[in-house]
Amino acid sequence: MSEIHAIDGNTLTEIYRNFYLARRFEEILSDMFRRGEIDGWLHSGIGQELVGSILGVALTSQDYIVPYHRSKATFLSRGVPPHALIAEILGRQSGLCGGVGGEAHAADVSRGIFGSTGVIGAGFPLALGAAFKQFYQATEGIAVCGFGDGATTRGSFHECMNLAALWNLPLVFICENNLYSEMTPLRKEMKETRIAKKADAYGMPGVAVDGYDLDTTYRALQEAFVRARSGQGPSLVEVKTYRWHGHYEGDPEEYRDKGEVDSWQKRDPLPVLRQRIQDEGILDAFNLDQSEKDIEELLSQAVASAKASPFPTRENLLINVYAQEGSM
Amino acid sequence: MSQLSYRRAITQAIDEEMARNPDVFLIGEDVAESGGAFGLTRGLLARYGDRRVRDTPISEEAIVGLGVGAAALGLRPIVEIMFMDFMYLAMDQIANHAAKMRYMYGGQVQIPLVVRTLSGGGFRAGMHHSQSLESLFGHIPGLKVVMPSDAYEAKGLLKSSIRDPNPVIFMEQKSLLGAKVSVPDDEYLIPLGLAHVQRPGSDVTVVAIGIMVQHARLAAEELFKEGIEVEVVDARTAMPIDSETILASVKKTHRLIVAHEAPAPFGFGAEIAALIAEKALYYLDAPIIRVTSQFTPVPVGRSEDYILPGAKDIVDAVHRSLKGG
Repeated sequence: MSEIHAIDGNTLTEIYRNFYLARRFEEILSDMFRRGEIDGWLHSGIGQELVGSILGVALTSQDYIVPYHRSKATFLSRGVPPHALIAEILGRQSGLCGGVGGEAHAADVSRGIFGSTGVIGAGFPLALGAAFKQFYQATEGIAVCGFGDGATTRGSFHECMNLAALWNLPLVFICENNLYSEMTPLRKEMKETRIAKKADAYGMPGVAVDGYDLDTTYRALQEAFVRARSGQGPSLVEVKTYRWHGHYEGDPEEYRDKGEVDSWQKRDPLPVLRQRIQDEGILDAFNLDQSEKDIEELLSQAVASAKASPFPTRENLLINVYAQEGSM
Repeated sequence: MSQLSYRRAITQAIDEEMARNPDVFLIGEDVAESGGAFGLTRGLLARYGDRRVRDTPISEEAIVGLGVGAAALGLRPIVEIMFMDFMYLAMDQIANHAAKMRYMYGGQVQIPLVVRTLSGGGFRAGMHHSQSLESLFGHIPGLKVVMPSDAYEAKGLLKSSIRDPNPVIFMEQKSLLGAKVSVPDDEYLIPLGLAHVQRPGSDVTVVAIGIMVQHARLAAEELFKEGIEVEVVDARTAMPIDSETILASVKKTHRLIVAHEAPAPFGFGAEIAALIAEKALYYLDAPIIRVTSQFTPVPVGRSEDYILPGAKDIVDAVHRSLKGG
């Protein structure tokens, strides 16, 4: 296995930009939801942006990602324009899927992001298909499947862990364990709550990391990616993390203590990373401020542009049920 | 022309399409080394190797979903589900993902996936190995459902299904596996969504699908001896429905029987009856009659014969129709 090097300055800066962008994106969306500007619902990933922020720098353009369902960070770090993601969440025509898919079903296949679904656990087989494609065409690419702790009780998780290992597919399972399956704590969902350990049953490596520690998380992910890329097969990375908001925006959150939320918020890796970039002399406060200002500007334009986009026409809603011969 | 069994027609169709397009691959339980539980994929592993022809564990959801994912990214998977009864295990991937993915991603992908599966009675194997579930799948926007009625149909329709850019549920009629018909030696395709007037007639239309086309043929021969001319329309696909051919036939004969092996409620026959009620009600000289199985699970053993419909049921229905229902 090739050596995983310490994270260089450029990478740190890029992860910080992705992280800051995702954090502000989540906050802005949450505010918009509270103001009634979003139809349907919203599942915030605030507090869990680190993994998605890393994916954008640690993967190649050949790789496929089935995103963890809360992870707006995955889309943004992969270069999806914020306006296209916001427009999709708002159900507008200029959205990634023409405003038909919405939050749960957003995809950007041109950037290798697909397999998002409204059905928890349905992403595993789809990711298996993406990894199989890489194997079948003997590409350099791999596939990554993001999911939460709650999805690991689905049968599809076990079927796909087994098959991925059996066929030695280039697939990395990334579990963002935020300790709750919707409103129910992990211990009420499974007897064995050490999710990484489940990899043993399928003959693949499993590792658990503190998802609020950048270096450990980055290293564990890179090791799994290198392993998959070099033909050594799948692995499971369990990233212990925490969502600061409820299961859905507006969730009264009667199932957890405010103290627990505070304890995680105090460990927020975002300001830690900012400080580190300054301390290591990569960027000074002025440059960081400037970069954040640029992101604020980008996001405010994105919101305006998304809101200005029309809703799909009736005609738009009747197409794409079937593909016509030679349509792609 | 050569005599070809339904079983070999399927093997040949897969073989020809795999030879033609390197993106076509085949996965399923026992499809590779053993050549299929019923020999439908015999020889393909030796010909194409274990990258393209692969045995899978018993994991229906995973293997169908693998097909959906690979299809979305440009491959052309053929996934075999040994018996249609097991399709329920993969229902989320078929109904929520294969069918909807193109729509929900705003047209970014197409899903050229074929799920092949043995359907219907004939093995007397009971309720978990004998179902015909075409109406479940025909109800879901995004899917096509194909039910070939003989070896000629099976080969031409399977080749078209593999080339189709949409997910296709391909229902192989298990009681026909050994039945041989003449099949051209040269390549041919049968387009999806085009019904076939299998036998022309002027007195009664029988729209049949899958195995019931064979029963309808026998019934028509029987009735011909009585001087009754039955027009047999092989629907070929439960979705899409070829309304044009069916309407034209009913407007000619003014009488309609619909025959399928699945139970009547919410079935293919109900859909055809609705089509006629909406588009050709005043052409009818008698009520529409459905010939279907009983509304029960399919029992095991010879009891199957009491539950599933046959040629005699069609003969009776035609007589009733000619008497005005």
